[in-house]
Amino acid sequence: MKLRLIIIFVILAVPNAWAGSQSQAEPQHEPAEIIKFAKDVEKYAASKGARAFIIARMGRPEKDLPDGIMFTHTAIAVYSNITLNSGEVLQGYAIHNLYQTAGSPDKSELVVDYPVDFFWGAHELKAGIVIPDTQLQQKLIALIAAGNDQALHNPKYSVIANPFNSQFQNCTEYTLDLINAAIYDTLDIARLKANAAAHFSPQRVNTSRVKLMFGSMLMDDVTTKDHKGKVYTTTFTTIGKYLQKNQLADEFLTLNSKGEIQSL
Amino acid sequence: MKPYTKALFILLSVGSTSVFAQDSVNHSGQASKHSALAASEGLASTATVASAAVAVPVIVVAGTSVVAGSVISEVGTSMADSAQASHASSHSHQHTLVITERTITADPAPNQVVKQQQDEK
Repeated sequence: MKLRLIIIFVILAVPNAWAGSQSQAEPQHEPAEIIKFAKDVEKYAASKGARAFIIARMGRPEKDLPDGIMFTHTAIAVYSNITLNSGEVLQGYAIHNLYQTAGSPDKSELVVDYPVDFFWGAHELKAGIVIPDTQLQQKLIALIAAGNDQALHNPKYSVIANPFNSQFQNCTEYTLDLINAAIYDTLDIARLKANAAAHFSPQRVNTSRVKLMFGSMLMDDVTTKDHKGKVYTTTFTTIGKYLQKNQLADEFLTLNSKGEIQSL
Repeated sequence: MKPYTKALFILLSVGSTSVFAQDSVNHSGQASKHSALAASEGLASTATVASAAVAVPVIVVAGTSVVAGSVISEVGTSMADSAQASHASSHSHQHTLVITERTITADPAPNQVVKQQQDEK
């Protein structure tokens, strides 16, 4: 009886360690604050003439983030003509995301949303921003405008997807795949993975085998099937460093709600 | 090792840090968000909220901004000085793009729209 209670307790407690991956996050800030911050991020990018940039948010408190990980969700923002339901056309950024499917966390879908949607559930109003150089921006826009972003989507989702193979994909790996497809002018997945393995340095997920074992047992969106040995995955920071190292990033920084900018 | 000691060990090792830091959660369809956004209108002069139907990337071809789809084949042209000539650019800084002051949001999910419509009846 005692053992049964302990097992139930463990099963109930383990998912809480990763809370935030599944449920629709409630806002952590006043709507007016989120609206202002989202607009500030747009205006910052616009002031730099960015027509496409990589954007990231913090879906959990900074103190809870694992070593080496600054942001929890990454996507690509594209300067767009946005047609409202009223028919009016306005200019702003549309954000091209890979999101987990509601109710099926081991699956994902591509969703276009807008800055206020993007930051709605953010725990801290701090954005990660990488503005690629002009040519890469142009190639990313062409890729998305042609609908080729769809061809790079793998709906099998894992939080800790290995960027060097195509078994699973998460939001950051998808972003990396878009970037490399634009750089190399290819939609050949095998070639993209080979190039990532040759040139991209992912983030080591520093955790114990026990945590990984329990995570993969209890959470549908956690698997180590695509990893051999140590677990590495794509992050906003590793993408920024990758572009920086290859002289493809004009800006690589964080922007917070106080307007403070920190170069990375 | 006694069962409860094992369980405590596991709890401590699993629960001590957050390992999986992704949160690829879509906030677009949250009804509560749309209610809050709607309620926030009027709190600030810039807070008017509008739902988007579609967004089309703006491509720059030979210094002119165009809507994607019409001239995809010409995308190879440089856009290095594009912002200056963009139809959307009118600010003093030559590279600054125009951004609407309106707050644009994605539409609620279909089931929420249906529910809202039913509630209104």
